[in-house]
Amino acid sequence: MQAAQLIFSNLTAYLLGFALLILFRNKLSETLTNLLSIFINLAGLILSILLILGFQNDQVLRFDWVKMGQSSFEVSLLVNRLTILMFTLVQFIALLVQVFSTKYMKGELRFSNYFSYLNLFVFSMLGLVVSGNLLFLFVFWELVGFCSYLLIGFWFEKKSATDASLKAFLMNRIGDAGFLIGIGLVYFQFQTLDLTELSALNATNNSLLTITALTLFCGCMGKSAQFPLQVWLPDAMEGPTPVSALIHAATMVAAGIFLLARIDFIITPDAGIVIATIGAVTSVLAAYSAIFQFDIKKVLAYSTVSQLGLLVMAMGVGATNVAIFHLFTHAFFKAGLFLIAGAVIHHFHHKQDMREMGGLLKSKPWLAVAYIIFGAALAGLPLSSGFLSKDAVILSVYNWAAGQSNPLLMLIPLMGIVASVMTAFYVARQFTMVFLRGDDQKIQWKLPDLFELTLIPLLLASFWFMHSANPLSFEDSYFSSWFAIEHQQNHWVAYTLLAFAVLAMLLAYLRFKKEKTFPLSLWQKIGLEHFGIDHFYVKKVAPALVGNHCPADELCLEPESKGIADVVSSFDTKALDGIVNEIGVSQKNLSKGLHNFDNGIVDGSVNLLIKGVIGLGKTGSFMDTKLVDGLIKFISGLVEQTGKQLRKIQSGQIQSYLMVLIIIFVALLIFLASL
Amino acid sequence: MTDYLLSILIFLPLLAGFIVVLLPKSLEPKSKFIALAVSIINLLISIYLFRAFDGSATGYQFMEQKPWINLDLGNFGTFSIQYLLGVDGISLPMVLLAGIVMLAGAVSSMSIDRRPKAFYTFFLLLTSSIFGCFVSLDFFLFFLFFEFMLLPMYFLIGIWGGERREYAAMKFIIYTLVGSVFILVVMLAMGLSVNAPMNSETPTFTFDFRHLADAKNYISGSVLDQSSSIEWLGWPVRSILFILLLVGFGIKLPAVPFHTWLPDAHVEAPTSISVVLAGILLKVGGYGFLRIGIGFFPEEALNFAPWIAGLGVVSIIYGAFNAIAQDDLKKLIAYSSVSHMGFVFLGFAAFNNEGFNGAIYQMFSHGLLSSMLFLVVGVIYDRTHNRLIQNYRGLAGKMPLYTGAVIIAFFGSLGLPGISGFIGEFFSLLGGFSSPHLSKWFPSIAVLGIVLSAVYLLWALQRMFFGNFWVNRDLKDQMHDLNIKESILLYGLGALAILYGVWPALLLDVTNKSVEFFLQSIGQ
Amino acid sequence: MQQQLSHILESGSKLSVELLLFAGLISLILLISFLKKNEKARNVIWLVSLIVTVVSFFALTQTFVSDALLFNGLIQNSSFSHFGKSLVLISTAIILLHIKVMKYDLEGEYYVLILGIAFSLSFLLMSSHLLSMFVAMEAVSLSSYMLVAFRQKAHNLEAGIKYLIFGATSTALMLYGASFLYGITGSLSFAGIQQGLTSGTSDGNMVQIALLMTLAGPLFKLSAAPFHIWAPDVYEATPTPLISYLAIAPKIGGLYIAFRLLETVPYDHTIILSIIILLSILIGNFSALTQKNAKRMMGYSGIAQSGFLLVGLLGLEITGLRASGFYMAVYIFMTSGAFLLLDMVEKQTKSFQFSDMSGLSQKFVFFGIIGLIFMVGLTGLPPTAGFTAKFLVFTNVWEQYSGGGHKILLWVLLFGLINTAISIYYYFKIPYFMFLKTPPENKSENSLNMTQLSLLTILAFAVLALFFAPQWVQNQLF
Repeated sequence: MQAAQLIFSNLTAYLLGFALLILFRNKLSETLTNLLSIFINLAGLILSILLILGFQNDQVLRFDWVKMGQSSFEVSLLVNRLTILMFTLVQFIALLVQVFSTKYMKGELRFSNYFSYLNLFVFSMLGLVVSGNLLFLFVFWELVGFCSYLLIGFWFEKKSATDASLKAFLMNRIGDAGFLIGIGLVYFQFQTLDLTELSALNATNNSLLTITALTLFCGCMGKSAQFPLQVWLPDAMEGPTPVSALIHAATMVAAGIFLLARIDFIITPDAGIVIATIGAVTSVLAAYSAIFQFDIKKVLAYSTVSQLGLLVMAMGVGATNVAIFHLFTHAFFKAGLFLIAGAVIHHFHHKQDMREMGGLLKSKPWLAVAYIIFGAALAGLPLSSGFLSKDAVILSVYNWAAGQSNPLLMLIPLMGIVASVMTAFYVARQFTMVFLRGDDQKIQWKLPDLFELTLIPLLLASFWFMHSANPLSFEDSYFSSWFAIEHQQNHWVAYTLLAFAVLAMLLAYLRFKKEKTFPLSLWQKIGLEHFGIDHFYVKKVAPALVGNHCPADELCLEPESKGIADVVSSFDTKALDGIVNEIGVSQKNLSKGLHNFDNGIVDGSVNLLIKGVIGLGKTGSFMDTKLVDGLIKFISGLVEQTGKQLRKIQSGQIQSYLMVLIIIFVALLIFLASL
Repeated sequence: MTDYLLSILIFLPLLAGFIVVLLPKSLEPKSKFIALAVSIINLLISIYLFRAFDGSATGYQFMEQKPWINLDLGNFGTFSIQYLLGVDGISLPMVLLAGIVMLAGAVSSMSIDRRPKAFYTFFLLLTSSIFGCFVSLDFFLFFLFFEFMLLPMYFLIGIWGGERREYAAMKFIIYTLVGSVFILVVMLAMGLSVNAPMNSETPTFTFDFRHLADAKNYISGSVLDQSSSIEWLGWPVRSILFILLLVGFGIKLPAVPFHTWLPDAHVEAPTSISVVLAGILLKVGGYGFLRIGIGFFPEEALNFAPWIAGLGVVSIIYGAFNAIAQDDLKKLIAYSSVSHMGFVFLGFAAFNNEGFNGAIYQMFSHGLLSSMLFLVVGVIYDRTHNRLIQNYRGLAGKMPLYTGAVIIAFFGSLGLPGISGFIGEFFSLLGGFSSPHLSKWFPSIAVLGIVLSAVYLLWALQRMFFGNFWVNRDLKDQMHDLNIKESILLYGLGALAILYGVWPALLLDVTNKSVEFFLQSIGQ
Repeated sequence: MQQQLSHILESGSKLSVELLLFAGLISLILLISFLKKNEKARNVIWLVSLIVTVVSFFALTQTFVSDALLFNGLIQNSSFSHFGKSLVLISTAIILLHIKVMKYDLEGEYYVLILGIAFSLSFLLMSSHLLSMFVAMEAVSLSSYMLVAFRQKAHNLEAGIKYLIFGATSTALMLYGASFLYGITGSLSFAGIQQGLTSGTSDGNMVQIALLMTLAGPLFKLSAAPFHIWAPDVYEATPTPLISYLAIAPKIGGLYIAFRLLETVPYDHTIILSIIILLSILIGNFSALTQKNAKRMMGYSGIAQSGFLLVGLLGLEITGLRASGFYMAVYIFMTSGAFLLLDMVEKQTKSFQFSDMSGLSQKFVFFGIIGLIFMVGLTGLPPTAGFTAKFLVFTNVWEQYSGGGHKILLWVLLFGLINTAISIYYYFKIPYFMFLKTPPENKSENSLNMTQLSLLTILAFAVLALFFAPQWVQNQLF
């Protein structure tokens, strides 16, 4: 089959899976749902392997979508090595996660929805991976975010879950806004969004291009949880744990890195420095926070953020392939770690606090073994896949910094190294807290259950031998034969790092071996609260935007406050609409005034004038009668007998009418004379 | 028969309106079926037109031309007003949208039981004038339909509306009338400046769109002649007239700060009328501005491009902030309309294919999505007669079908790709970015709108639909899920929104050539 | 002498319509004198006056129009006056029908006064001489005063007196102005004055002032600012068909005379006329906004409408005059229709208060729709001829402006049109209350009279039809 057909049928399968599962969500039994979903995934995986087998060289396949004037927007598939790597990776991990989920989500109320969302997610992720232009990259990018929203908030009855999903979507949206600006700027400069065409253009290094790269990077900041948008990822752990494994560890969060890899030709050196710095900062902040978490999943979440920081750092210095390599290895062991966390949580009946755990080594030895292997990979111990890829990252960044004239840039790899050491520390801490402490029982080796079986493929992928013949040299990795990885100098850095890492692990073991609870010091609080960044968003930024309003049925915990939106809204109703209403009122007033003036009755000055004229000793009313009566008699003689009625005519009325008339008339005359 | 399709679009509802008026009392409940049938026929005709339209040709199609009114101006000449209909790729999407939205309106108003005869009479008159607006190719005829929309709308809001309906109806009619007075001034001035070609001796003033768009037809020396330098208050009169159009159509669109009629009108109008108002009436503003404002004043429009874009961007951001602050779901959605229609102005200001196509697409998509949104509000209002967000929680558990529709509508409206809203917003923005006439700041700030729209929509979604089911105790009675009619309406519109989100060529193949031609004709 | 006499006789022969009206008047007076004062007699008198009106109208249509000066230049029979006369006769006929269908049982004298006004207006519409103008105008005025004051009720009388005093004041001003004009030019005929002014070297300001003063007469007839103050009181107090007549017929004459006077003085009147227009529209519109009584509202509306009528005179082009003529024709149908509507409403509710109209058209839907047509027309929205009328007069303004006219013209255009938007607020009060408000509980179950409704429908039809077929009136224009 052609690559295009393979890809399309693959995508269609998942979309169909989504549609079937959501439409017949009340009809299908749980088993049937599982089978259908896994079948689709398996078929997809086979198709993707066919794709690998049939791959010869890079291909761009374009299909008409929309034409506008001269420009044409196409559905384009970019099939290159990166594409099929990700294509397979996503489906591979998805398959394991689905299998894992069949047990984990058993008996859930909306299990069918869950699997349909997973299908939609895989569809979107695959779409993202194969998209050959920025438009479709963005389209699937957003869809992936949407699935993440659905899955994080899967247990929507829980407020914390929906809060987390909202936060995740909004943080991603902020990044996407930047991404969109970036797309606009790209289109403005090059009149195309096609990645292949763009890479062929020789972009000159100018400030607009730097801005373009940085705005595009905003997208990555959102999806890949980079500072300062990283706060959503730890919260995203509110979703079911398999979802965390798939989306928030292995695939979706890697999309940001993937994006940078796709557009690496746009990243100017200046932009690269900013990107690398942000990555380095993120990795240190997150690693530090991971050390102090008590929630088993949050440790992993911060760890993910930290590792993504490393990847971004590598992307910033231009080490694209290295970053992809680490992305690849990280996907396996981090997914594995999350699945272990899922199994642990399942074991402890949805308890997630590590302080209440311990001794799992005895009851679940297989899990412990798996954790050791994944943990070693995460910590970067030799013989693991992580050792290879992380060293590659650290070395390429170090060597880049060493080649720069600005010595300050050396801080970037330094931060990466610090983060890596911390990584080793929290891995050891977590292992100690979850598996070691506890009562002295015999280790009970039982047959592995479904959870543990699912881990096997991931375990295999976390050893060096799946990646390289030589356990100590990433340059010799199989990966490197597909994605050229440069030979790096200064291997001593890696070894030093390893030494520190081992030391840190030892420290962690000693520190947490016994202690179950401990008072929090300031530094620990800072770590636990992730430097208060999240707190700042939730308690300061959000209320500043939307205000703090009490829900109808709950006690108000926070004082009510007004946000920008409230201010704008009250401006709208009070000022803008107010002006309109005011005009209406004043128009009425004006019209009343005119009317009154017109009537001349209440016009005091006119009355006064009349009184002055009529004045002296005689009442106005009497004069009136006389005057009016006289006039009538003079002209028509009609009303001889109506003198009585005439007295009823209100005083001053006619005169004031006349006065008004004369005043206006005189004014007109004066005006005319002045012309 | 097929020669008069456009006329049928106008006169069928008009005729049906008369029939409804004359229905005897006993048949009064049947009037809704007449309206429904007419809406269906009109939709079918619109679809037929859409299918039969030759997207590769430029110029107007399905034309009908009859001389109509000749206003004798003595020694000035005569006004020749024609009954001139036709559609091109710019108006045809609007015709199709009108077909869809009016059918949605007709279906959703079937539950109206108070004075149905009068309701459907006005509804049919409204239908007629809406279609008339989009197919007229004579400025006078356009204006006639444009104005005539006001009356039925006034009564539909004023009689069948909510508590403050009278205030809202009066505000609506005065606002829009001020707008149309501005347009009238321009129409008058244009009509008197354009001589129909072929008549050389005594001028025959014409309102024919085709002639108005051609600078050659302007009588040399007239105020609107391109080279005219006549000023008023220090401004060239052409610019002043353009500003009048900007304000006139801006009120209808609505653009901030001319929007304050809209929240009131929307909130007070009954559901089906909100649907029509948001779904199609606002588009008349956009369409008119494009066809008349930009089409006949290209240079002025270009000079004012930053202002147009500014109005658009301010509307986007300002409308979104207002939406965030609302407690009333319907008001929230009303303000979201202000925000989303801002993209239309942004697209127009771009003066390129992407921008114009994007703006047209945005109008079309907003028609579908805002109809859906107002129907969503209608569902809840029908059940409890209360629209305050804080009175509801956890509806998702109790009403899954409803929630599904809401998710499509909300996400569509916040610009999720795969649903039509994205296409419109994306291309409007892309147009803005790639336009040489605009600072990149305009689209960049407009992009914030997509963040804010996520804030207000998803926040509302979270507050009302997620969590444990809870409804304020006074309203607890009947929170049942969608019935068949509601499901068909909501999911039908949702399916359309998704269809047009996935396959924009369906619409853009029709608009593209006309937009290109239009851009050429205004010298871009 | 012989020649003079034959000229007079010949002139008389060209006044067949006036002669007919005169004969009718005489016969009416005779009938009143000799018939008993019972209802049957009053019906006969009504019928006779209607026949006289209709016959005169047809006689008018048969008359060949020649632009000749008659009676030594005292009057001039032009196509313009021909059109005016036909409008007068149409409105007279409408009012007579109005009286009948609304079952007013008026004394015979009223018909004499009505026909008297029509008769005097015919002359006013032909006057080409200050003297004939004055005489005709005073004849109109006196008949009007009496029409207002005739039914001797206190408030009627009061209104009549107000009317009278303002009339008298403006007459005085007019006479004063006319004497100035005579003093400056030494001539009383319009043609003579015009000649005198163009050839002689007269003080421009003085002439303008004289003209302005002379205009007091026609402006009073038009109830245009600043001679408008009488209108609301008189409108409110006078029986509906009579005020309907007074709101229409004298305006025809006033408009004509205003035009003739402006034409006679060959200066640029744009500014002064614009100010009068703007003032009339402003005062009329804004005062109408707060009214609670429909008839008073119509009074203020009449002031504003006069402003719009005068718009056509800006620039003194024949096109503008035609526009004003068209406006006048439409105005007749709209206004008489509106008054008939109010009269019918009053029969139902015993009141002219808006608030008492609540929910009326929920009972009488068709009636409500017809009423709506008049209000839409008065506002000036399509598809009514009210729109066409406004469209035409403002076309004139734009033409004047774009032809290099004064900048104030654009103000008139914008301001005038914005005022149409404002005017919807008060015009729509009637449909607002009739449609939108719910009727009070204890509503008497009167039914509508079909003849009344038919007349109303015919008038509404005219308002609609003239939009679609403006040529029906335009072809009759001069």
